[in-house]
Amino acid sequence: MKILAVDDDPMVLDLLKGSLPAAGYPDITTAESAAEAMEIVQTAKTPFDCFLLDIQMPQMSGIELCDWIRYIPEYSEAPILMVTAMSDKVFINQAFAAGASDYVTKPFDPLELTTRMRVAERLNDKQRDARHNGEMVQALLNDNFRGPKFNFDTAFTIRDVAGVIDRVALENFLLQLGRGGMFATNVFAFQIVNARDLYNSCSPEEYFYTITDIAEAISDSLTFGESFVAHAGRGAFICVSHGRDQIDAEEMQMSVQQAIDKMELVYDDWREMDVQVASSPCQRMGLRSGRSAVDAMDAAIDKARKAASEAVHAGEFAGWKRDLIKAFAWAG
Amino acid sequence: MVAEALQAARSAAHAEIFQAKLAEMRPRFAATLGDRLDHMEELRDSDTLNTAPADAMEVFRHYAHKTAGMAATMGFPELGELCFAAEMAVNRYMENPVELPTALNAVDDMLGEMALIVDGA
Repeated sequence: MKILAVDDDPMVLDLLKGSLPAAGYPDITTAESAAEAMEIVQTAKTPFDCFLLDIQMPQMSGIELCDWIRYIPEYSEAPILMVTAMSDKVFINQAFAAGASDYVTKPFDPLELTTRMRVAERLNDKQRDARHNGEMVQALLNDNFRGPKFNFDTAFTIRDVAGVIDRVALENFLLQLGRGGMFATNVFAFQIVNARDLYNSCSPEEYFYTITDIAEAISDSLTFGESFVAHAGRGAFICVSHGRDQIDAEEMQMSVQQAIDKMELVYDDWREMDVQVASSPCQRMGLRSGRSAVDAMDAAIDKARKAASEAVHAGEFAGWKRDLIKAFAWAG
Repeated sequence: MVAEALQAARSAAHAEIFQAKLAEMRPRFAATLGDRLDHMEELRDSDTLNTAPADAMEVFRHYAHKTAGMAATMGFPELGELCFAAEMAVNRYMENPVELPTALNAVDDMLGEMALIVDGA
């Protein structure tokens, strides 16, 4: 794995360069500023597989650098690990919003460092497998898409929408919050009603942009605390909100639906697109930590799917009742 | 099974090399600390604290932040905590200038601990 480590403290870079090879990561390039890193990235003959960025650096911060790296198409999915001191925790949300995948804390603990690097490596492998998907997204954006459709299950990444981040990054954010942070954290999910029908009725480009629009509608509607949204595949979106506000799931679903309705989504041929969403109840994380916090995300998605499926049945029942009333009226 | 064993061996080797690297870097850390201490002591005694206190405090904040993470990594957790406390105190001062005396106390605590480490090196 080819790594670029950026820190304005040469001792940190020395430590990483001197110790990471023993953990199986010998290919490390270092830079002492964001400007130097940008030059290295631009002139690299082979792309980097992973970035380690210090948050607080003079002139240009690690968060700004992260944002810059994310705008380069070949690094749109690359693992970016922020290296943070305890006092940087306040910037972590900004870092995730800028596209960071995870973070490593200073003081360095060798076990934590190798663990985070392994997560990055797995993420990198996963991204490599998913590169085909990324290429499709790029092709879509270039408006020359002729290939197969997106897989309905694929949790493709949505970029350039404030508050919307990658699913893996969202999991890492949750995992790193720790027990203290979990107390004030809520998890909930949204599911597009009849998502598969929507997927089947759309061109890949229409589906990609519809999912992006819905993610934006959700993100814009989450006005409480600090919130992140991630696309979870199969028409589902997972949301994590950090703050002490009470969240009313029903009210939240209404406001998201209103935001979607306001968008007046249409197909390429201007036919109206009927997009309804259902939400899960809001789950306060409380004393959860680690994997059980991530499991809560999956549980929220399951609940949102169930709510969407109930909405389908309710809709079918309403339709059937309407037909029956019409039939009676005609007969009478 | 083999992969797990390999990973465990790698982790152990990494921890060992990490510690060796830290031992190798400690004198350099102490020297860097000495330079930072000299700069901050000079600033602490200079007129800058009266004429442009925010500028001086920004320098303290920068050094406190930079030292905090590495201090604990290098085996000086107490210095790490004092640096963190100093950085937070300076941040509070930046938001509210009335906090200047409290921030300076925190900076002095940090400088005192730094001096102990530099003297002991």
